[in-house]
Amino acid sequence: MSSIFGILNTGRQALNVQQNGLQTIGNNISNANTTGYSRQRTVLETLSYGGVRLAGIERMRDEFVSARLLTSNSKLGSSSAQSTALQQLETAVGETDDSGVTVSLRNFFDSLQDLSASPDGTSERESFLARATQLLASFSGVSDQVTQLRTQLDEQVKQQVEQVNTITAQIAELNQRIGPQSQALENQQNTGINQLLDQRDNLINQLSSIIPVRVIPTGSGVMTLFCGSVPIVEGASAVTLQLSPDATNSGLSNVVIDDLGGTRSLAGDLGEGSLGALIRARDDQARDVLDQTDRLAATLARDINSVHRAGYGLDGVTGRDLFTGLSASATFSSTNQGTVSAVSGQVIDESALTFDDYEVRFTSSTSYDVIDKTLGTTVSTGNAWAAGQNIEFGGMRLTLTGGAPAVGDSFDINSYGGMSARMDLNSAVVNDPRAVAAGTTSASGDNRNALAMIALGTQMTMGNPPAQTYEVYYNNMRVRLGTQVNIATSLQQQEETAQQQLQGLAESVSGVSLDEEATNLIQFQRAYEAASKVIGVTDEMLQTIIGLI
Amino acid sequence: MRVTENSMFNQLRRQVFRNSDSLINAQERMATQKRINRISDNPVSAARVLDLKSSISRSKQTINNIEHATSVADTYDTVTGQLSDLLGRAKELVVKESNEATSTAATREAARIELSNLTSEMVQIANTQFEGKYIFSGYQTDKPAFNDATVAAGGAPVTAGTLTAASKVLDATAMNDHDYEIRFTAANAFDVVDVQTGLAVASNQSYTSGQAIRFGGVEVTVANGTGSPSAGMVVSVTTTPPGAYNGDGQTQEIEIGQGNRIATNLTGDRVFQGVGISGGIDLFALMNSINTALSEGDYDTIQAKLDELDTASEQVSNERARNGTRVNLLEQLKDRQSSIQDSLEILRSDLEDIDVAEAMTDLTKAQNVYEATLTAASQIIQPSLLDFLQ
Repeated sequence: MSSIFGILNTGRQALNVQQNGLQTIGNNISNANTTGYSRQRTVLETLSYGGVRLAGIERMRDEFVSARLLTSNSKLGSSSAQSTALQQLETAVGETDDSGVTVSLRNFFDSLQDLSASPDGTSERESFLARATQLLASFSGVSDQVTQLRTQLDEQVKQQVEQVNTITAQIAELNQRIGPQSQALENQQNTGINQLLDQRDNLINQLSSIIPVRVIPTGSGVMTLFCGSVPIVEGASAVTLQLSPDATNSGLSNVVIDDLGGTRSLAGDLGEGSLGALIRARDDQARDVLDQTDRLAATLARDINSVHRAGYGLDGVTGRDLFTGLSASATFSSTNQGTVSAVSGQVIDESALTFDDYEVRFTSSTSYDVIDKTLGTTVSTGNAWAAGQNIEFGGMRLTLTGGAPAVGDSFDINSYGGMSARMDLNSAVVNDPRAVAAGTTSASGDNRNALAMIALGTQMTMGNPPAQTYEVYYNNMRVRLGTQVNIATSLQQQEETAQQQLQGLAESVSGVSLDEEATNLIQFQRAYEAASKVIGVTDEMLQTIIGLI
Repeated sequence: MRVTENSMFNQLRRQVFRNSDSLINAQERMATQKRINRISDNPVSAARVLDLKSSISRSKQTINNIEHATSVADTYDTVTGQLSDLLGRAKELVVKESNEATSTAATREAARIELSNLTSEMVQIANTQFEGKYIFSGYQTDKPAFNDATVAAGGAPVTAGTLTAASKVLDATAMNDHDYEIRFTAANAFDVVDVQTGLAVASNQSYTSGQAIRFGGVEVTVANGTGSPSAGMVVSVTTTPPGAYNGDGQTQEIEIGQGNRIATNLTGDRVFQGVGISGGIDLFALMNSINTALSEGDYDTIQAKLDELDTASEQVSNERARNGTRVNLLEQLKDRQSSIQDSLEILRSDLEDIDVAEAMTDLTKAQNVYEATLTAASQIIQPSLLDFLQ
């Protein structure tokens, strides 16, 4: 048996609830374009004694799609970062019809052909030196551009590490704020928690395009985030990523985290995501291009020099190099435990150089092994070492200064690194073109040494084992890079499509449709009007009753 | 499925981007006239293009080298031709003088002088330069291949002061390769002795101070410091007739294709001295001996030298023919290289260059698609439920 005041009350509740619904619709419409906003819906409930009440405001969201979207974000993040970096790298080794290493190499050997036709011609000698200079410029051009690109990538790595730290700190803070309200979340009470959840989801989304993120709900509304095997956000605390410059990698930064009093590298945990892709582009692809260009320059210098030294200039002088710049560079890792404070490398026999990467590893403080890292072979083992003693192998000399190495310490040395930037022409030859050793005697018409240098251009001197000419080696590298760019670009398009599809799916659940909201607006407005009518009619009824009195 | 405004606009944006991307690519292909603008456009074709470009460039350089070798060979052809003509003229002269019945001392002397001129001409031919280089010197291209006649004189003074002896060539063909000594028997008398034969060329000649002493085609003027020559003073004279080879007889080679080399030069020792040819003739020595025979009226020798002149002509002709074979070979090689280059260019063009009609169609198509997308977009964006609610 209902009372008139009961009806009035029901009408009032209905007014409140419909108004609330209108407010939610208004909120949806306002946030139609807000990134990360999830559409909200008022959940209404019938009361047992009649009437309606607001059961909660539901956040429309497909958790399954959201989880897949994170993985997809990471993949897209890495493929787009990689394809952008590789495209820049391709530009660095790109060529036109009259510039670039390939063309310069060709011109260099062609000018040798012209020299062999007229070994006594001053103009042929001048033009040969001009072509050699052009070749040097092409080498250093590639070196400059790739080095610059690596520095840029390093800058981006730094920025992204900062971004990650900012985002994880924010997520940790949100974890802290959401935790105590999680009960309210369960009760579907509208306490503004939806906004916090949206914020956190949005941040996790952003984070997932930089690093791979695995989200694990740990109860009470708190999310723990894993990057690989590292829990980067746990409850209210976030792990800070740090940068550590690597002496064995031109001083570029490694990403590390604190670990048991020391630090550990995060490299293995950064699979997908733009940060990992940037590091790989910087340390793998770009470095490969640089290393291979350096190897090419170094091998060319070694081979041409060895022939050039055997020949005679028109001035009757023999034993002169054409190119300068061959030197060995040694580095050591900061993880070494010994007291060696500095290392230096030196070339002692140019013709014995192999341009592989070598590692000298100490098995005790007085004994070392030599390892060829490029070939993966051991050169020698159990060599005795005493303080002040030079270590010599493969045409190089390694000098350790400042103390003694400890067991397990290792020192890297190679004789090609930086060659394309360092390579120059012997000033004695530049100053006097007559010094170009075109002949095996000083006779003006002797072109035998020029012919011997020409022969180098078609010899298989590059690669392990040697199977490529200089030009083929360099072109192969460019084609390999081009293929990588091609694959990375199509992968990026693929990931884009996949991500867009997932985003479409997520959007179809969480997105705001203005048509829908307009319909809902009318629906709630009509209900509001009707509820008002109920109150109006009840009022009339009351007046009727009051009139009876 | 719920379709929201956001997904609609997102999709629209993607389509516009995708279509404008293919439009810009079509434009780039049109502008560069190349379908491969960077290796990543098509790595497989690009690798082939790089190989082809490398081969084309090598082929171009080979053609350069062949053309150089051809122009050098042309020079040898001209020069050996001149040499043949010269030997022909020499033979005419010798044939006339070989007939004892018609030849007189006067005609012999006239022939000898002309022959002497021919020898000088021969030296000039042998020292022909091409682009500033002596072509018969082997590797020694900065040195004349053959000496012209030279004479040098000198000796120790007997009295104080310095003995100076000036010398010059009067008649190159009258010279032999001998050394002489001018021996003063008194201040006003001297003998000239051939050191090689030990025979006196002239004895007890009278001498006045500053007088030129002439013998064997040379002239020597002696000044003995402040005083006049005295008995016992000896002036040594070294004469070299034309024809000593200064080159090294080395064969210059040039690459015509990878690892393939072809000789570009003829060497003076072979052409002019018959070195390396069985029964080869030294042309300068031959001219000299004919000269001697003419001046001595030695008809047996003159007749014998006629045969040698024939052999010499043959030797020069053979060398010219050898050079001619080289020219033919070079021409064939050039034809072959040119046709190789043409076919490589066609292959490269097929891979790298656009088909203009196709590219134009692509461009138009891309433009149409782009415009259609924009038109469709403007249609889709228009309606909304809000338009119909009043």
